[in-house]
Amino acid sequence: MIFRFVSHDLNEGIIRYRKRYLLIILVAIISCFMLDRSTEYITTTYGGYWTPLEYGINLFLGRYPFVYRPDSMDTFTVPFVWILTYILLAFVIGDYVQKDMQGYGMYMMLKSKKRSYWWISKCVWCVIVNLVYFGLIWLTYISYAWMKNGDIAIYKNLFIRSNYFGWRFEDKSVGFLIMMVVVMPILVGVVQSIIQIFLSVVFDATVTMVFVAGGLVLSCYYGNPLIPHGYGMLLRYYKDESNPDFVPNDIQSGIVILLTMIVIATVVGYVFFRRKNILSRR
Amino acid sequence: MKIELKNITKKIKKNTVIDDINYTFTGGCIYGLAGKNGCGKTMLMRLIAGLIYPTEGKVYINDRMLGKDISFPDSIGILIENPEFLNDYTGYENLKMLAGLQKNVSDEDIKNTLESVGLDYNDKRKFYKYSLGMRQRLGIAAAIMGKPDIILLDEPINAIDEEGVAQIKELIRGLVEENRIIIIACHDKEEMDYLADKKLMMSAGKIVEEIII
Repeated sequence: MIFRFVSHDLNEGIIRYRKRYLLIILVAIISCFMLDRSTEYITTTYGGYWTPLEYGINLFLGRYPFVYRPDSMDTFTVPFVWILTYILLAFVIGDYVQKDMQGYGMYMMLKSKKRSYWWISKCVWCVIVNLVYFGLIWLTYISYAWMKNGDIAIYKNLFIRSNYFGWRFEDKSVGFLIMMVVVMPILVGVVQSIIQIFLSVVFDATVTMVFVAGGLVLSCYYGNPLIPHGYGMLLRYYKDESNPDFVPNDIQSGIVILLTMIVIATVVGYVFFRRKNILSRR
Repeated sequence: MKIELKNITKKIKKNTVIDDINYTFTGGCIYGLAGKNGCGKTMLMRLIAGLIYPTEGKVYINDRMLGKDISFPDSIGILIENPEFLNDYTGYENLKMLAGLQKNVSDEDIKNTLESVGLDYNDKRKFYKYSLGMRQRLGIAAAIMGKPDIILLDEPINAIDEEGVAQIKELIRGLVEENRIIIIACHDKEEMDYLADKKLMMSAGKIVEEIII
């Protein structure tokens, strides 16, 4: 039974809105161009090129939490492309859930006699959307690297990388970096998406987008283990030399926290949805 | 088959849309809900269907409480406002997907249901190309498919041509069975008097009069 709901969501919630995914492909390509352009001097002078994983490191680098120091020369830079990645995810999620609840999904609920099937299928849909969304990012990086350099090695440019990003990544294994740059952003995306669909059932899609955008900006300024977006920023897993009070994220506890958030959001959403009035759009 | 409404009140944003209704529907006849726009007909149907829950009171379907023992009635078909289907599928395909969620609906049943509402089973047009009348017919088909025990039809003859109206009226009358409850809402007095066995006059969220026709 759940499979029929999920199948419906795949068709109506992903394939039907496939054009929305073009935006993140465009953003990924532009981020590659921007990195190539900003490091042209280094790569030209010393040779070498960026690999897919390194493009990903650049996208999910993020920044440290903001600390106000009046005597500091440090300026607050917004990780714009990182924010845009999660904003576009919210755009892809959109108002599908709300529309389905008041449309064809309503018939499906009545015929199946269970509200739970509908809600669970929407949570499964969120997971699939995130896998497709981030999968497209990585596919773009791999395709770009292949077309540009004919090479899709995971990790290559020690000298260039350390000069651009700093030496902090060199003490971590490639597997660890893949976890931080590939897996954690997906988990963060799933948390965001399930919270988003829960809010869209309670409020409307516009209000929900405002919440998501606000949460993203807040996560740039503020670091806390319970703010999910922090786990999608690579820098947050490393010490901040200028801020000894900053406690880096831990990947194991991050996974536990994010998975717990996913479960809680799913359960809370279901408990709320059980009593939700399903009215018409008008 | 029995639907019991016990002290049902529904408030939406401080507006009382259903006001302390007590009524029992039993099988074997067609109930007609009549009243002005905004009197609560559609809300009452949504309450019975389990799409919304009462602010006060309880709804029982065969002695089982909606929202506690069951989420939705076990066997129900509903046509409420503008029926929403999947735009990129034909009428048959839309019903086929819904039938997949029910256990007792065969391809033959779907075909017969479409023909009974005046739609062509072999029509390859996608739903987004349907006229208003065709959409309404498909909505009725979805409601009656599988011959559910409770059928709720909100303005079933809206947008349907004269010939179709006669066809739909005969179809609805033919659905009456001892163990089936049919509730329709209709603005047209003449159609209501033809279809309904009992007419419930509603006003300001209350059932103010019951007329046996």
